[in-house]
Amino acid sequence: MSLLEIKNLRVSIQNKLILKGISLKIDKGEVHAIMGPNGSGKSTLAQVIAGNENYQVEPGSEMMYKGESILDLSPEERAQKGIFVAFQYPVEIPGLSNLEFLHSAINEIRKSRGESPLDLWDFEKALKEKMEEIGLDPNFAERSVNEGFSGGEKKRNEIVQMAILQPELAVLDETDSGLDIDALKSVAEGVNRMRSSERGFLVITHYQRLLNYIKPDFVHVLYNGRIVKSGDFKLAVELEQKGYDWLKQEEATV
Amino acid sequence: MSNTLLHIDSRKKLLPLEIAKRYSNSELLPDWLKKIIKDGILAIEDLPIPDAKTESWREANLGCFFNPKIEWIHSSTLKDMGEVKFHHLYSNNFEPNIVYVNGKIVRNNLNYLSSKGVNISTLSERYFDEGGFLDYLLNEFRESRHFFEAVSRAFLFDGLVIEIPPNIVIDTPINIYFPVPEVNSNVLDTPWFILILNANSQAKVSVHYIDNRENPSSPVWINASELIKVGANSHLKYLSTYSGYAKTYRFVSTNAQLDKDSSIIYNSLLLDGKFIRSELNVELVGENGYAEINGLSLSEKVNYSEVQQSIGHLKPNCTSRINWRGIGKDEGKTVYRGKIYIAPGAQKSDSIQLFKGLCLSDRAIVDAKPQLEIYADDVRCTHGATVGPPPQELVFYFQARGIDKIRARKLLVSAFVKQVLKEIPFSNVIKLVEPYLGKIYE
Repeated sequence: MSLLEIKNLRVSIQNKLILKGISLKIDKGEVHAIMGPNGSGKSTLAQVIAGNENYQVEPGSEMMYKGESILDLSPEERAQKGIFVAFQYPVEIPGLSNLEFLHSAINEIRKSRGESPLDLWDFEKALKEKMEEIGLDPNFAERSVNEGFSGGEKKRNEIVQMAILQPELAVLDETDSGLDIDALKSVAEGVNRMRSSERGFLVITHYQRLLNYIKPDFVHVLYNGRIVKSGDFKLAVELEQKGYDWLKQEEATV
Repeated sequence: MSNTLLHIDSRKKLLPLEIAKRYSNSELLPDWLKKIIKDGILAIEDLPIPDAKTESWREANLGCFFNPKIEWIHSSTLKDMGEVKFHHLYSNNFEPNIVYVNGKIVRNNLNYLSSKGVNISTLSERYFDEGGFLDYLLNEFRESRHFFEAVSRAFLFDGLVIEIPPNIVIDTPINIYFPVPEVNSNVLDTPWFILILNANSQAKVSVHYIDNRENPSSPVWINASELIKVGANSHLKYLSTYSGYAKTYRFVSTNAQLDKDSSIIYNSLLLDGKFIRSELNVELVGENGYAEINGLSLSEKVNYSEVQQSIGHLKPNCTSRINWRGIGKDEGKTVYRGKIYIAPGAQKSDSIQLFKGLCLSDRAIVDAKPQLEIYADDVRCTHGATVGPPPQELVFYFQARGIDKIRARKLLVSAFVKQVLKEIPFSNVIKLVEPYLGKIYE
């Protein structure tokens, strides 16, 4: 049984078909990368896995998580089952501290599993340790979620959230965009520390750069709403050298 | 000008004007006060009751004040005040220091301040003060601009007066309560609060208008007035809170005047009650004054909450800040009107006015109008207002972290409120708001 199995996923937004039949299988322990040019549907895929209701999933599409269809589940139910999506553009929540936000999140997840809630003080300690590990100032625990954070800090904060919530499936949506090389490294280290035989990753990126640090087992190229090519890490290197145009031409000749 | 009751709006006959007329002729009152009361009575008779055609009142439905079945009894005629009760939450950092009910200070544990020269008294105790400072002060604010102000003046029989002498700094907050008497009658209560900071003084004052009646079976109409004078180089931090029941109707008018080099941080929380309209006018009458207003209005069920604020920059080099938030739930209506006025010659004025509104149901209304009126050319003034439901992308972000929509909205409302509470320089102010937030979450 795969961790995530997507079959013939077709997704529209405002009656425009964005994903035109994607199939993808991620098993535990695997890291998959999805690359592709702007507008190919990469972020749509991440949003649909998270359960964003603004996207219309067309009939005939399938999305199984640990053998169960999750298309009818709300976003919070998916998160509670162990799916985590790191957003490309994390929102700011003025007035709500990172500590309160994540403490609520982890306890909601624990509640859904019949586990007792975590004490705030114990949790604060754990959060600050994770922040330090990922290169985010631990004092940010008291600051409002992402408010006034730089682009890099927001992305690191997403990784902190992932490290705290310990998902089984993590989807990173262009977590590398806007990061300088140091931030990129610490984000990648954060992800690598979490790689395990019990967890799968889907890393969505525009560039190979991140994949030099998070070596994927599989690379897929998404173009115009379809996966047009799959391969191993060498495909990412090839894309970096040649760009995406050759794929566009290839698709045109198909 | 018609001064006869013959043509008077029949709704005005629901007011206990006879008692006001009796007071206005009382031998016990000083002449200046009798004049104010008489002027108030004349203004009641002369001024129309505002309605939807009155621009600054167009949102307010005043039906609750003028139910033909309700004849109002003035609180001064009540014999038994009943026992005044306090909600447990007020014991936390807001323990009552002074309690004023219906012309009487029923509690005052600040006697130690009298050694510093701080004068805490009723207005009647200072009727005949020499120097006539009250006469001066009341004259400043005497003209009734509309019917409800006229009601306050016609029933100005007594009040609470606190005067801080020059060069005195009071570090600990003074907590004052104006509770509704525990009575079951249709009571019109007209509390007055006069606060004077003389030059070079500092104080921190919180004022709580509460309705904690155990059996609020009859309506009360609180028509409150506050006069605040901040002397030169004096600094005041002020908090007022309003809470009540489905049968609490409030009008409150606050007039504050700031002398040169002085400051006021005025904070207000409109938490509950069937109807509340709060009018605040701050005048910066000396140079280098600073006025800051922070606050929150909540309306739920079919309640109505309105604030009308204005800050007048009458002299150059003054600064003002307004940071107000409003929440509407169910069929509640929250109205915000804010105005910054820059007088001719008030150069180098610096002003920022911001309103944020949160609408928690389709039928709730949050209506905001920030205004600027500028008659000087070398000024910096900005204003802005936003109103809407909790942003969908924010709610989704919570959901994607395992938090359902209902809890997400609760956390967002709490975050929204905390944004303004953090500006309010009274510790534990959240404790005052929490019970009402609970209702907003339901």
